Amino acid sequence: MPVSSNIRSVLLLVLLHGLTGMMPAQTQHGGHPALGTSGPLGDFTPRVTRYDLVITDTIVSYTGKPRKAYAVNGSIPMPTLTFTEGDTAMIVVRNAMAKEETSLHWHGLILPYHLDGVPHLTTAPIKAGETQVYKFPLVQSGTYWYHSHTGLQEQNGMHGALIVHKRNAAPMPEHVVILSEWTDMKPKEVHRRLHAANDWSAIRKHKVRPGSVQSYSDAIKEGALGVKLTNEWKRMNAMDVSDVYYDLLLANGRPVDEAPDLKAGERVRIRLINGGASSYFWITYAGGKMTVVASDGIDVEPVEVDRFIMGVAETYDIIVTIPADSTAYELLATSEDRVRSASVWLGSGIRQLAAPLQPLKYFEGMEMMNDMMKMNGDLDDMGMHMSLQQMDMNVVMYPEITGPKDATRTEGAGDDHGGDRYNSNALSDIVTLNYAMLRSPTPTTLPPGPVKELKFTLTGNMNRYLWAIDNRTVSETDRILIRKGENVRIILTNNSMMRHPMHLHGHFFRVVNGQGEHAPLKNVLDIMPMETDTIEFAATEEGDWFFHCHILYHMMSGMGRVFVNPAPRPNPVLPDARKAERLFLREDKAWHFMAQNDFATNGNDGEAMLMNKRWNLQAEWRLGYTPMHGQEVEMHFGRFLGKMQWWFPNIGIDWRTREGHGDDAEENLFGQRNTKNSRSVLHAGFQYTLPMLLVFDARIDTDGQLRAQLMREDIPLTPRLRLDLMGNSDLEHMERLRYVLDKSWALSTHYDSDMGWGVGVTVTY
Amino acid sequence: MKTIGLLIATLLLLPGCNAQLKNARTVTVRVDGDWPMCEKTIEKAAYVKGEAEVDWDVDAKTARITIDSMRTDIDAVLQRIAHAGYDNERFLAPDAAYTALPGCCQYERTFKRAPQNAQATVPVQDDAHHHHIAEEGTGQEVADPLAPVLTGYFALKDALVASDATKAKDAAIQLNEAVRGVDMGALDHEVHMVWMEVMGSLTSTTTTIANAKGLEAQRKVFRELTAPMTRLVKASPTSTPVYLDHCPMYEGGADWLSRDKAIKNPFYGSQMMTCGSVKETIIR
Repeated sequence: MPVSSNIRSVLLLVLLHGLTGMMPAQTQHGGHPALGTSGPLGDFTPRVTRYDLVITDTIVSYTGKPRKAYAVNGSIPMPTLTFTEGDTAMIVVRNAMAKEETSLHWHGLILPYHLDGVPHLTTAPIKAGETQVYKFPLVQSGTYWYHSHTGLQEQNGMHGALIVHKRNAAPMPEHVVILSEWTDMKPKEVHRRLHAANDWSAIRKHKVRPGSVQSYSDAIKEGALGVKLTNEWKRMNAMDVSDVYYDLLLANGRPVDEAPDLKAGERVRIRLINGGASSYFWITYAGGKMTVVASDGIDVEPVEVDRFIMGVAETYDIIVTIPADSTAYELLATSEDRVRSASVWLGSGIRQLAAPLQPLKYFEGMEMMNDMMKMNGDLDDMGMHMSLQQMDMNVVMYPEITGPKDATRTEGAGDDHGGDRYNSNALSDIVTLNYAMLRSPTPTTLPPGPVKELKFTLTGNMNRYLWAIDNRTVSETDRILIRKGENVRIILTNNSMMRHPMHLHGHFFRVVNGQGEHAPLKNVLDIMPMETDTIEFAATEEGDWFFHCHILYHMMSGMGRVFVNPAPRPNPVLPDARKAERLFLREDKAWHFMAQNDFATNGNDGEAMLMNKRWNLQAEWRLGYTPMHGQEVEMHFGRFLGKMQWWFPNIGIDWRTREGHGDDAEENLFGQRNTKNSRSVLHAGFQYTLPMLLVFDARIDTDGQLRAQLMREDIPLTPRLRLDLMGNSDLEHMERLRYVLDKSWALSTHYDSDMGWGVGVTVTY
Repeated sequence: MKTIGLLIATLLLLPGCNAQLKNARTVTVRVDGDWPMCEKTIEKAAYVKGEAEVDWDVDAKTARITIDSMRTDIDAVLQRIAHAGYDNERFLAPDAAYTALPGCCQYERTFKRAPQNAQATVPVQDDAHHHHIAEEGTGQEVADPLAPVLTGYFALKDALVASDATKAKDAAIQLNEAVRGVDMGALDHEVHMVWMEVMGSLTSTTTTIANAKGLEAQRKVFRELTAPMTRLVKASPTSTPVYLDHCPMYEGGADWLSRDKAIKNPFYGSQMMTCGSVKETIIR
């Protein structure tokens, strides 16, 4: 049926309007034949598909406690937007919130850069009360999603599915599942506590699945004391695969989702989206194997697996069957830390459960980390050259692959035979998907052109929560210039202890995985510790494109870079380019505040820190109740140096006052004498983190007094019992035991060489 | 005073006294299970202090579930029971949980419906540890009396490959039963002669493995099974090949038999899964 002249003129008007001349002439973007696979225009009637989205504040109650969240058109997750390839999408977004600004990023879509939705980089934020219209052609098909790119809004409801159907697609029953997480803790507080290295989330997880805290008592119980000591000797804190404790995992906004209309014997397509902020999900199915047919929206040659892991922001299309009638089969999504899961029941009838994933064997994981971590903080892959998820070191923690707990830990079981030690598929009959198994049905080779090769090393520091590329955050580096006609090749190496889902805006990249010309196209790459992966893309899209880790809290800490492919005209929606740049880069420059005070019978003992990624302003105080005990306050300001940030040179001020001790001078270890009755000095010195996580503090003050101090806080004796120790060359020492009650409160008792014994309550902000 | 005290004590001792659960709601639901000893497992899986308790009747195959309806629901209880391995009206146990049940507890899965296509990807009943295994046979050797011994050996070997001491113990017990259940009269003459020679050591070795404390002890004794089993397989070779594998590292060198060509080491498990090589292929 030929396109009628009316519709053609509407289409033309639509194409010319609303895009202020920024829209490129050709519809084939990125030069990838894999996109636009629906076939010739032929008998297809293009149209404008319009959605109106209204963003509001709302109160939700997932756990029975009312909490603030964001809803769009009254729903969480945001409504599923459905299009057909070739349509023009017209999304009218109104921010109906009272005060907050917001934004929406269309993840995975190829579109003009000023509609990409990254506030202050490509798009203006949608201020409270404002409406913005996003109008662009859909040049691709597949499973995508959309989410806020402002602050931490993505965590609290602003995520939703975006599906683009192929033209003339053969009808097949399908179900869309967007996975997400819920925490009752405000995301801002989650973020702050991550920066304060507060392990309350590990204690919460421990209640659900014992073992996450990996305290000394846990280690002794499992015969892994040597492992724990080695781990702290190498200056590592207890490792977890995920930082945050979630109260619930959700599928389509519910802990249990249903697709009862699917019938037995049917083959159905499930479009899975990881819309979580920080969780990876294992996907397993009670009705047998799953056939993976698309990744990040782009078709791959079908590959049958028993399970696969979804990184944050990845999407996968799978085809499964409903084997028997009157039976619903569980599609199970389990978080990588195995603390929580969400289920989708496919079919209707008696419910066939999938086997749950057993808890992680944490000390096996710790032992593996000990082997991989060098004393200087670098990771050593022991010649294994890991890539493409083929070797999963965490496999030592998976009981379903390496057997139950006691069986596998034998200290030094002799030589391993290289790669197979961590290769899931070699170790068991369970087939786990990895990137080397993905193959594009069509060739994806880039058009000929000069290659700009970049090497990025992902770096991270759990103790200070500094996540970066080459130890530089996005605000500490310049934008990277790329030009049309160039091909950009990025060699990514992950030298951090966590896996990261790296996402590139505006383009698909080839994942160079041994499939030659048929390398798959993706827009999110999960890269595991010590892996090196190569991705490449043609720089066809003009504009500013963000490349970042999609773990929300890592992105906020600056783990990313910006590629600039210069556009002929300035960005029409960001007229003040310098102001925009300043606002875009301010997130990872944020300062975080943390304070703690022990309200005890022998005085108030506490500290407060105002820190950002490199600098720290810290105050410590010991305030006695009597003039005999006296008061002492100390403040210092300094900068963290080095990749591991173990060095902390600083300068500060020291005040002290005390009465009733007469003229007895005390002698310190350096032979210097001081009555310690009154002090008001400046000091300069440094701190250094030693093995066993002891902090060595050395300083000299304006009275010429030297002081050396060793201190360790938060030694995890048991999951809830913590020990703080301090001793210094002034012959002062302090020991404190704290029992953690909840995120802010702990019961404590301590002995201070100047103030004696006391019991009290420690409050932590 | 004394009578009141006695009365209270008696009331508290009455079975099924739900004085503890508030907002109590009781339902009777069908829960599958075969053996009286399953009762403890079912009731323990279902029990949550202050929320749910269950009384399961093995003859009627029903569970009387009492819950605090404000804190939980019947589905949550039935889901826990199913996760422990017991099918019920609302939930089917995961296959792995069912097969992990001790052989005697593996009831017939009447709640489970067969898949629609001929190519059954989900078995209705898993035979791996079913205690009628001796009668099933392997299907290749027609009524071969030694088949259960072979199958039992491979099951034990697989359990050690998976580093699963509990499964290995069960497999050793099964193999022991299979050895003692062989009908010598049905064997060919040559096989009979070999059987007479190896039967004793097979019986005693499998008993030792079954009583061994821990995975390493099991592995050490498992090694001693290889020689008599190899003699047996060579005397009555099967149409599907059996591989004699050798691992040079374990205790100065150790052999085992396998149906798979791929090396999966039962002495080291995942620590050194692929250590070893095929020494010999035994085939008719």
